[in-house]
Amino acid sequence: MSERIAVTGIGTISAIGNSVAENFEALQKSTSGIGKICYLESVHSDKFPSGEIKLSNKFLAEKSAIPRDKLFTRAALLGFHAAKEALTQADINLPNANLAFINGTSVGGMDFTEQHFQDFQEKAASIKFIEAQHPGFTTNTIADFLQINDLVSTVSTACSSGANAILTGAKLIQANKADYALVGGTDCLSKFTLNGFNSLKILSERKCQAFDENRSGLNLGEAAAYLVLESETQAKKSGKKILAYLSGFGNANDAHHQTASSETGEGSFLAMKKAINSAELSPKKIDYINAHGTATLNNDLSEGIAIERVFNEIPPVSSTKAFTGHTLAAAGALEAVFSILSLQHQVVFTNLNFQHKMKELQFLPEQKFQQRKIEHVLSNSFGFGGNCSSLVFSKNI
Amino acid sequence: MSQEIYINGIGFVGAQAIFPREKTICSSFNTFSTPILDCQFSEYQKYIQKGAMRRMSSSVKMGSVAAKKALSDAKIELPDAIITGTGMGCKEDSDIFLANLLAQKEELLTPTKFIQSTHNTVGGQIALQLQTKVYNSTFVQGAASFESAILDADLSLFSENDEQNFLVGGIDEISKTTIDLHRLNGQIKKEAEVLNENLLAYKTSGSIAGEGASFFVISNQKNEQTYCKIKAIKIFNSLAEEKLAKKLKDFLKVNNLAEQEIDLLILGKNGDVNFDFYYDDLQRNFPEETPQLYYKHLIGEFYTASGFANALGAHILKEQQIPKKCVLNSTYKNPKSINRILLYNQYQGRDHSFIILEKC
Repeated sequence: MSERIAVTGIGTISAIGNSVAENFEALQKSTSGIGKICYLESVHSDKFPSGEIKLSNKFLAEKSAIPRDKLFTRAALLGFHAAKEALTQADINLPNANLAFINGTSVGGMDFTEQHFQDFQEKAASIKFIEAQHPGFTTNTIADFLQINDLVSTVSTACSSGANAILTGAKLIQANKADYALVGGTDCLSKFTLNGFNSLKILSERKCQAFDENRSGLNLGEAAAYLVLESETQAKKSGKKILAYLSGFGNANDAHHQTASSETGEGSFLAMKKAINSAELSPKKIDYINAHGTATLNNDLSEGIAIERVFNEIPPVSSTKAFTGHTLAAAGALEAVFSILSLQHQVVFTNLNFQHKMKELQFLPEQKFQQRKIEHVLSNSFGFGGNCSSLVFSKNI
Repeated sequence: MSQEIYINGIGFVGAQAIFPREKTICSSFNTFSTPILDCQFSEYQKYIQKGAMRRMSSSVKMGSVAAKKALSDAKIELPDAIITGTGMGCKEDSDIFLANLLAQKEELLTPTKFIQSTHNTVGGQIALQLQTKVYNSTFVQGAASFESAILDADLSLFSENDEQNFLVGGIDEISKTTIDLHRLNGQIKKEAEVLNENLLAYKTSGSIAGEGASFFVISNQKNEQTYCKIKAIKIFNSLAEEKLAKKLKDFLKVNNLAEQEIDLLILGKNGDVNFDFYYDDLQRNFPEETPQLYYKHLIGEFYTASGFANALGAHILKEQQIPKKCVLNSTYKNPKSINRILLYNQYQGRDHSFIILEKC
């Protein structure tokens, strides 16, 4: 990489907290946010434990001082909340800053659509929600309220959207197309995704157990997380605190199946390889892997094999999905924040609920929160459509 | 542009026929009398295996064909990246899954439609068909979805020294539910009969709906297959009317160009009386002799319709001919040489984009 990409702001809201600090506290205490669904109205809400953020839309809107007549999808409410935290930390003044906004989302405003789908034709009051069907609507809502007017785009590569939004922003900074890039993702729980994953029979009725022999599927979650990226030169010139560097990224396609990962984990293998190479590191320099680790039979086996193919000696590995649930398009961004926290605090996080080693794999995931010397962290995100992306974050030294 | 990038191959399916490299784009166009312009392509079996096609949504079918057309047009077998843009994604499958979910009260759902509902389905399916594991991404930013894909290609080519050929495309499909809803909220004209060739005469709200896929091989190498250079691209999420002229000026200035050096305009004018003023305003910044073209009467409005404008522009630069059916201003004069084209698009005042295509 030519110019180093500095991270100067991070923000998040997830089932384990409404800020980066709250998220870190839960990670430190190994407190999971997975529980019974209270806010999403679904016939399955008792059946599938999920990482729901226990705040109503009304409360979120009031907290962010959003006027009542503004149409904010839940993903936009979460997104605005997290973006604001990141922008405040990076000390960005909008609308004057030359800032690009690259947002990741999978279902965008699906919460509006599923709520009004059957009465669009009957109720005139519902008509205004029609536009929420396209994901750009949710991104635009956040952009408008933050007063970001120029380059705004949305990435939607299913569960790797957040990671791809981050690497797109990094390329913008490298090419000097913007001074700052606000990058990340947002997704809320929806009946659409809950039922979609249920129809695939990959939702667990228990708390998820990533990389466990007896794993029984994933828990869904909802979150938003954003990073502010800028060039190292610019960040240093302004005397800003650099939280970490995004030192490498890789994107590859598994080209195996629309939803399932290949047995050899080829896509994830290539994404990790590319990311480590682009950071100009050797695999042995990676001190911690924040795995995709959804706890589905297929993902953990495929990802585990890919990790074993990349690393001769496997560094500490954990999935944080048992804290937050699988937050889909937000996952890559949320786990990027966790990776940065790992670097800042020199710690690795627990792979909660792990009990039994997978017979196909040699390594065990981390079983407790602990101090470690961490200079480089690899974060994995894989999605439907074979989209695999990995990011490398490095300590500010 | 970070470095020179070129259009080396084009594939399009939609309401108009694919225009082959050897033929001029100015030949005949299909005409329509309803506000819905379905894709007219029918020879899918030439490009896609029958067994595989059965489960494919129209987005995947249109996208696969346009992608293959673009690759063969550029004489490329495998691309070095696949980047797609789509405003609505695989809308039909998404609508069906949602309708079933609601009708069946969340019980007994089959996963097929859900699996195919993600916005990156077309990009993933093309990778699968080509068996290629290269960089793959999808952008879903309304009317700037296709432009975002082009921008990503430009950014990715920035750091490449070797020859790279990226497959970049935009896809959107018509879904019955969406058509009904877009009639309801005024995005589609209320008139039952709309003659597409008179689109601008109606002066009513909304436009005509279309669908299609346009794919391009974008390369950092100029070769015999090259149509033109993509000189510059700029996206504005929101833009007040009074700021348009200034943004245009700045954009031209950054690219060391004056208005007179733009030989032709291609505008996303779609007949929506509430939003076409953006194009009218832009037109006023250019001499009345400059040919000013539109195209959405030919293929309908959809979030990635501007992909067609890029194909149109690339053909015009290569053939040096102006399709009469697209001309907006009767005052235009044929330029001695068409060297540079400015493309401008927006939808309902959102997702504005400028692109400059340049003759090679």
